[in-house]
Amino acid sequence: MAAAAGGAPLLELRGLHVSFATRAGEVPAVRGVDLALRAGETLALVGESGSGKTVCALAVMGLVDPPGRVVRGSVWFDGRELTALPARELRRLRGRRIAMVFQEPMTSLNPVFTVGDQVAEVLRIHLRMKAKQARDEVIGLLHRVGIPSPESRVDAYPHELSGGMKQRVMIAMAIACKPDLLIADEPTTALDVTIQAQIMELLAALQREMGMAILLITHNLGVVAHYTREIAVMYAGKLVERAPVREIFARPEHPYTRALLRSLPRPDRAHEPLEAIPGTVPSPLELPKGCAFADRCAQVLPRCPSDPPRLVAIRQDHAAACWLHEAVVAAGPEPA
Amino acid sequence: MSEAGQGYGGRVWAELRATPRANWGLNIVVLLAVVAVCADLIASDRPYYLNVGGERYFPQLRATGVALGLAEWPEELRNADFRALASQADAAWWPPIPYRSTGVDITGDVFEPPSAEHWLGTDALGRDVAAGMVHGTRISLTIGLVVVAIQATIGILLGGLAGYYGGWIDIALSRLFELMLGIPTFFLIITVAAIFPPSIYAIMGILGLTGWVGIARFIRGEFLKVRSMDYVTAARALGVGDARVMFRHILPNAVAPVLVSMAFGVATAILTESALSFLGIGVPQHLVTWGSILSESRGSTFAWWLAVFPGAAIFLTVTAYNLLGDGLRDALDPKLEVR
Repeated sequence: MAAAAGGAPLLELRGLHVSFATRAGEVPAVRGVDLALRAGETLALVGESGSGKTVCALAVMGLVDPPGRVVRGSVWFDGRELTALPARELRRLRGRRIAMVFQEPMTSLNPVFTVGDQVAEVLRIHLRMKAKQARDEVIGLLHRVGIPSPESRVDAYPHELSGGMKQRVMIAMAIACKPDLLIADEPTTALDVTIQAQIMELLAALQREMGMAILLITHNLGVVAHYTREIAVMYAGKLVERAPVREIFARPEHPYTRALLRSLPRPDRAHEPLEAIPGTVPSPLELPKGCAFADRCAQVLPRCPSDPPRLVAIRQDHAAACWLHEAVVAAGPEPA
Repeated sequence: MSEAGQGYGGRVWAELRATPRANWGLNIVVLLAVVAVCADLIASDRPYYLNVGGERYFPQLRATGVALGLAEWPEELRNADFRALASQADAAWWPPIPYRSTGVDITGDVFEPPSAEHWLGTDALGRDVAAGMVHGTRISLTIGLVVVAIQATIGILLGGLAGYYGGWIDIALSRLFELMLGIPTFFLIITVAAIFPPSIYAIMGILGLTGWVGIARFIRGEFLKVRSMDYVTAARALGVGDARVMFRHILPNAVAPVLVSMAFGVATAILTESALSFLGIGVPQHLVTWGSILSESRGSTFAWWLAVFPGAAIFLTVTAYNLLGDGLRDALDPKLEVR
């Protein structure tokens, strides 16, 4: 598994557009996303529900099902374009070089098989392991993800495990083949707060150990702060800001990011009410021509509703898509 | 999620056993299966054990061996009349019903009412009805199970494909299902029976090839539902292939309601075979089934035993499978807890 050499990213999304065909017309879920993730690094993709984060992840996995489809753009992984890859090739990548952990551990395990069977299936499909060897390997994996007495838990059915344990099993399945890229789609959202930290620590430890890249999808800025170096903020199918964590927290440049940060609970302002962003995310069927955040934005300009801003570097490593910035004005509106 | 260490199957079994109606259905089905498997031990005109002048024979055992190709008849028994032989034997142990289902005896006991010798009487050809009933169980159950097996294979395959892939495959297959529903099965069978010589395999084939639409539609619906479950997406995200996702990950979660309709399907197939045999167009003349015994009573209404016993057997079997299917439906529903 040669990790991408030098500066070339392991994963790169270029102008990715994903739409869903419905009776009401084409619903764009992802509208031109550019992302890059280097081997061994972590990128957090942050946004509200329905902002297109999960669809991005599914597009990388090649799991966007009809009526959805990748309309335009490309997904590059280790020098290969995934959207053009035959199903068979893609299947060989999935689970082996790119793995995914899902949001809902409660429903992500098949209720009729033991957890051992389910973890072993990955090993048997991709590494052609025999039953006995796979079982030993599974016990080792379960041990590695912090499941107590894995020798007996290997024969447990999913309903006999707690949510946190199930998520650990999901992680064991994901890392079974030592993937180069792990996509974690809100891995802690469905879990208790105390368990959330444990799961994030586990992912971080596994990353250090195995050197895999992690694409962390979340709506919780608080969770990501400790576990990633870079953050990309998504809103209504587009990236609105991309910067290193410290930059995002110290100098957020997009009004949406600022609003998100103000809505986080903070110990030093424990007695002030939390701020909410007024309004709701626009329906993907009725997106404004210009900036999708315009009707909720406190600093809205006359041109915002009509001209879509480009995501442009404002400083080194810090890009934002907002007309408040000169660099964005200089770049001009995105062509329709 | 009460008992740890007990899978879904175990819970379903416990629930079935705990429901009196379903439990009765299950008991009768098991009893019928035992009768069908042991038919030759229950009703046969060969003794279990025969001792002629110090020479010991096990004719029934040997007959089974011959049927399986494992043994041959000794010369002296090849065309033996065991009843005559037994009368001169030192010892002879007979099965409870010492007749064979097709043992014609027009010299004496024709239309004999139930008696100690012929428990359920005899028919127009002097054949023992009890023996016919026992061996008919085998034919009825075989037809029921083989027909449902054919139906389930086709139904699960086509229904699964339609539900899993969706799109134009689903549209095309769904139209095929509707087309099949439009075929009047019973008349098709009568037509086929009129053209081809009567055969038990032809009946199984036609019933199997025409009756799978219900199962296919059921499976399609379940696949549509289960397909969107997170664990199916998770399996696909791990690189599991389509066929494996369909049959390993989706099918076990989709098959439960189909088991119910399979139980009903067995009952329906048995009933249809009886109806065909009753009309005289089902199984060949020399075979004795519940339906064929019943059909003899048409011309001999005085022989009530020819109508009552096979009728009761058909009723009992169909009821048992329906009770079992009904109980399965409740037991497979995880929302209803075991009392």
